[in-house]
Amino acid sequence: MSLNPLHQFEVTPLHPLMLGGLDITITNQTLWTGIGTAAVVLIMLLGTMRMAMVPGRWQAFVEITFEFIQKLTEKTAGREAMAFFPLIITTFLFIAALNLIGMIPHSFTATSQITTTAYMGIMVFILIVTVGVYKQGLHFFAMFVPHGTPWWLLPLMVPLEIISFLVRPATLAVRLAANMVAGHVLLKVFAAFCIMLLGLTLDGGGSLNYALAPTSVIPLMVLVAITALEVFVALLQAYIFTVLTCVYLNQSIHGH
Amino acid sequence: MELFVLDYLHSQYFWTTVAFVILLGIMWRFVVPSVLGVLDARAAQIASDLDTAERSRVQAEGTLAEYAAQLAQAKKEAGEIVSKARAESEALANERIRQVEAELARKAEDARKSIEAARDEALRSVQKDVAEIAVLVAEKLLEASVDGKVAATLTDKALAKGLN
Repeated sequence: MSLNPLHQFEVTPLHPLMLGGLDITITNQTLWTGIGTAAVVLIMLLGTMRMAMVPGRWQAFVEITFEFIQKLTEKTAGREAMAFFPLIITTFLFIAALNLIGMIPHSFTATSQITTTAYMGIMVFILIVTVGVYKQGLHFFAMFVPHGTPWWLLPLMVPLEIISFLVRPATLAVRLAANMVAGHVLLKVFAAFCIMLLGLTLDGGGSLNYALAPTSVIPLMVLVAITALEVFVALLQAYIFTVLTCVYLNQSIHGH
Repeated sequence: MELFVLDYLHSQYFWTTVAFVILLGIMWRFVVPSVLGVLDARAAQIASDLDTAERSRVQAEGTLAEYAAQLAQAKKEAGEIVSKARAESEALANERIRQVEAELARKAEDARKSIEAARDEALRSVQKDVAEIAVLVAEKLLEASVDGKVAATLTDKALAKGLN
C-alpha cells in the first residue's frame, strides 16, 4: 500500500486467460465487476423467487426499485420506451452495483475505469442511434438543425449540434468515471491525512505524534461524512446515467 | 499513471459484456416479467376489490331501503290493525250495550205487564168481592132473592156509574 491516492485504481491481472486469439485475462476489475453483478442477480432473483400479492421485504425492495425506474422511464422517455425497460433497469442496476461495491474497503471500483464507463456510454450511443434511425429514418438526423435557426447561423449550428451529439458517449463515460475517481481519491486523501496526523506511516511504522494526534479526529469526521456522501453519489451517478439514457432515448423515439 | 490504462481493454470489454448480458438476460427473462405480473395482478385485485366493495355498498343500500319500506309498511299495517281492533271492540261494546239496554227494556216491559196483570187481577177480585157484597147487601135490603146473574149486571152498571 502506498499513500498515492491513485494506487487504488490500478488494474492488476489476477489470472491470465486466452480465448482463441482474445486476451481475456481476469483482472481485479473483472473480479469486482463479477461480484457486483452477482450481488444484483442474487438480490433480484431472491426478491422475485416467491412473488406474493402482499410482498415481503425482499420483494418490496425489488418492486420499489422496479417502479422507480419504471416511472423514470415513462416520464422521461414516454410509454413506447417501456419496450427498452429491461435494458434501462439493467443499466441502472449494473452501474449502481459497480459503484456501490466500490465502497467496500479493499474492493475495486470498476466504474472508476474509463474502459467500463466508455463501454456503457458507447452501448447507450449505439442504442439511441439505432432506435432513432429505426423509428424516424433519416429524419432522425434533422435534430442537427434546431428549429427556428436563421439560415446564416446554420454553418455554425449544425457542426455544434453534431459535435454535441457525438460527445454524448464521452460525456456519459467521463462524468461517471470522474465522479467515482474523485470520490475515492477524496476518501483516500482524508484517510491518509488521518494517518499522517497521527505521525504513523501506512505500514504501521513511525511513532505516535502526541502533539498532533488528537487533531486527526477532524479529518476522520470529514472522512465519515464523505463516505456517506460517496454512497449517495454512487446511486446518484447511476441515476444520472439512467436519466440521460432515457432523455436520449426519448429524442430517438419521438424526435424533437 | 494508474488511470486510462488500456492494457486489459479486450479482457475488460469481454468480461463487462459477459456480466452485463447475464444481468440483462436475467432481468429480461425472469425479474421484469414476474414483477410486472405481480404488479398487474395486484392492480387487477385492487380494481376488483373496489368493484366488489362498490357492489356490496349498492346492495346494502338497496337492502336498507327495502327494510325501511318494509318497516313503514309494517307500521302502517300495525296502525290499521290497531284502529280496526279499536273499531271492532267499540262496535262489540256498543252491541253489548244495545243488547243490555234491550234486555233491560224487555225486563222493564215484562215487569210493567206483570204489574198491570196483578192490578187487573186485584181489580177483578175486588169487583167480584164488591159484587158479592152488593148482592148480599141487595138481598138484605130487598129481602128478596135476586138472581145472581141479574145482580152482577146491576152491580156492573152501578160500578160503571160509580167508578167512572
